[in-house]
Amino acid sequence: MSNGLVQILDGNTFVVSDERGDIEASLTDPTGLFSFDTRFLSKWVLTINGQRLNALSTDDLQYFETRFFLVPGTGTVYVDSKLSVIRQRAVAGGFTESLTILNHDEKPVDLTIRVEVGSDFADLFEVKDALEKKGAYKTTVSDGRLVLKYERDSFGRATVISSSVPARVDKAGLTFKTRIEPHGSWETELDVAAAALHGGKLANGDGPVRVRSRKSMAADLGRWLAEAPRVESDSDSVKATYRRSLVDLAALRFSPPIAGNRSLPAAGLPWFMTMFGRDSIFTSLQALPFTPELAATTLHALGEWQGTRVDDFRDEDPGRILHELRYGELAAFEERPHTPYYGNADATPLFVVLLDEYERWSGDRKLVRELELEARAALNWIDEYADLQGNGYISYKRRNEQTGLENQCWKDSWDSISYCDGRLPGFPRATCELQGYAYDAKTRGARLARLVWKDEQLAQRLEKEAADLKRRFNRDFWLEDEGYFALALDENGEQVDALTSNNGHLLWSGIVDKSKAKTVVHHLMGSRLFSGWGVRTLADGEGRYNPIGYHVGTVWPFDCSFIAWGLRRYGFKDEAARIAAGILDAADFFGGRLPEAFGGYERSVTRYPVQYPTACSPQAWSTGAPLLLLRTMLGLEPIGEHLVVDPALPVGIGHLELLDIPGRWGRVDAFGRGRVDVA
Amino acid sequence: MGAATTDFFEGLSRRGHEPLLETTTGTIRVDLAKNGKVEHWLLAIDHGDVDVSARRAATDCTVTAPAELFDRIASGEENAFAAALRGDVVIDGDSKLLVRLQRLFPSPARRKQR
Repeated sequence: MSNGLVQILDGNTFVVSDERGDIEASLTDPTGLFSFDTRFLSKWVLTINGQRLNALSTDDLQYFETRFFLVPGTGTVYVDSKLSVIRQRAVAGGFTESLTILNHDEKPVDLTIRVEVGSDFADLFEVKDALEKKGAYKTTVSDGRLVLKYERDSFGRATVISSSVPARVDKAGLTFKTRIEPHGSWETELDVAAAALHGGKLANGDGPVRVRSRKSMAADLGRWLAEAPRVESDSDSVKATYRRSLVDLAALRFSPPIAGNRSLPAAGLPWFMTMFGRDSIFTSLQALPFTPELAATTLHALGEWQGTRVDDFRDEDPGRILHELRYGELAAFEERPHTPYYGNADATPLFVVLLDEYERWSGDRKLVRELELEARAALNWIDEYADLQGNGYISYKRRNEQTGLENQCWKDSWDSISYCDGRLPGFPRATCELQGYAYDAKTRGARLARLVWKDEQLAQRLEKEAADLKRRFNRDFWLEDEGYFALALDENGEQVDALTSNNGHLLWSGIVDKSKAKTVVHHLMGSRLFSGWGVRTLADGEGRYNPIGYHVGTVWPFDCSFIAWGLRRYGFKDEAARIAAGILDAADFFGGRLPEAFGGYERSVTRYPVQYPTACSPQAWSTGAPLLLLRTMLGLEPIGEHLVVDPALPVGIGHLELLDIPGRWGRVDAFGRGRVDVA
Repeated sequence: MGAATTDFFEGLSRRGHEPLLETTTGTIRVDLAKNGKVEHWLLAIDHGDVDVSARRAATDCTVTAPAELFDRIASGEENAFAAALRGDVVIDGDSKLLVRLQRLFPSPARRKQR
């Protein structure tokens, strides 16, 4: 995030503060300590002798740990302080903060150190949408601890603040009075624990609430980095982006309570630190050649939560894979449907796609057998529940009209699906990429049925359905005069004719007739869609095109990475390399951390990628984009028991090695040299 | 005990096998409180085979809820996971088993949007 905010995180617990380490949140402002979708601290302000502090520097030590160097003073004038203050903060089930004060003077100094504390216990959705609270607050002081509580009926959350050096604790904070000798120092450790209440009480009384230690987190990150393949390259930029991606992916890992200690990728900071069907699947696909265990956990967890009922409030159907799961107050009281919410039309076929791709890389047939029931239910959902118009295509129309999602595809903002002239179609809508995913799911499902489930009959039926779907799709969605696929079919089965990046996802799915691929690629790489950095979500010249419109003109790195994969699938190696080069060049401007989206402005005009104003960062599938691009550039493809390497690299990268790629072959290396001129 | 609860557990017992639990093995006990008394339903699940009894034995997961609330869960009116987030249903042990058990609760009646 920008504007001087500092964030550290561990799973779905994260802290966002200003550069002094202070938190002074308003209702609409995403600063504070958040855990399980609830804000546990909205105020955390340090003063010394009544004075606020001034930041000299902030060091991000790890994604879960930051150090703030501070001096007393207001910052508007030159400070010549005899005191230094160091706050070192680490997230773990809340956070710990080591507070150290150094006296550089030759005289002793008497200090009153104060930490102001408060919590509004806002649900993340309340912060996002600025809603009012319905429960009651209670603050108590006991045994030198400050306990902030929020209760609404049986729902209860608490923040417990304690210190290693005894403090004078009142209901608004902690005060320490101390004398520091000349050249001496003073130190305390502050502990902030986030907890759930049971019957108004803390679950484990006075016991520790802490789940993970800082040390174990550091060891875990070290292991994560050591187990991933290594990149060697003439391009320092590629090496730096790769490392940034691995670290951010580690940070975005999230262990849902049902997954034991295994983790899957959460979607992104600050709003989306939870399990999302679509995001977790796409990120797992991108990361398969690097960190295959993410895919296994994602499949397990999404399988656990697969829909079994018909529930209109949650847009749930039997076999449907969840969209989003939340733990906060609004979900608990069913003011939001996220327990979990199922309103998406793509995660279910993509679940089968990921299962097959995972097996192709890992050879882990045990998991494919374990998830046979869920995979069959997902395949069944496509025909039984998703064909809302009875025309043989997946469409969506929300049943929860208050708080459900209108657009249930990855472009989920209100105006993302439009005709060339800017009009919006009615519902149900059958967007094109959904049909591609369905085709791919049936094709891959047939392979799994034959190979692992030993069900030849199912395999043949799925293959027949896939072939039929492909034939119909190439007839019904194809815009003959324009030479690309319609974005969707509307409620009357008519074509929604805008030119979009979705065509690239169609290549990735394999649903495109070979004879049509060339003109589709021509559009994807043409000046209306390709900005020089990547492929715009909506083509320049369309009615709703806006280079900084969320899904109507910006470039999404994740989208581009799948388009590059699609280009490779149809043999367009040089075009895939061009996209890889553009996105990796953009990553360099963002310090290796790609935002979820950036402006669709022409590269030759702006020279640098313009960040989308409220883009979420780091975001899982943007973090995964460079990983998938490494795969597409090197042309990595598991065939049988082997990994085939067929590099097509942009000239600027020079030499590229990816070493110790894990898979059913053990570990193998891949090499390539930049030969594709992308200028 | 409410009718829906009794129907739910007796239905499980009668069927003896649940296809949706074929990859589930474990024991889960549902403790239902009413008028100061607690009634126990113990489910021993072995690859989808379900044995139902009214014993109070140690299990992999214990779910505690007011009897009246569980009756609404068993009839599809209430969502078990939301109730757990509210603290109305308390889970002790492997929460995955509650997620699995939830597969068996019926769909809510089709209703007007809330």
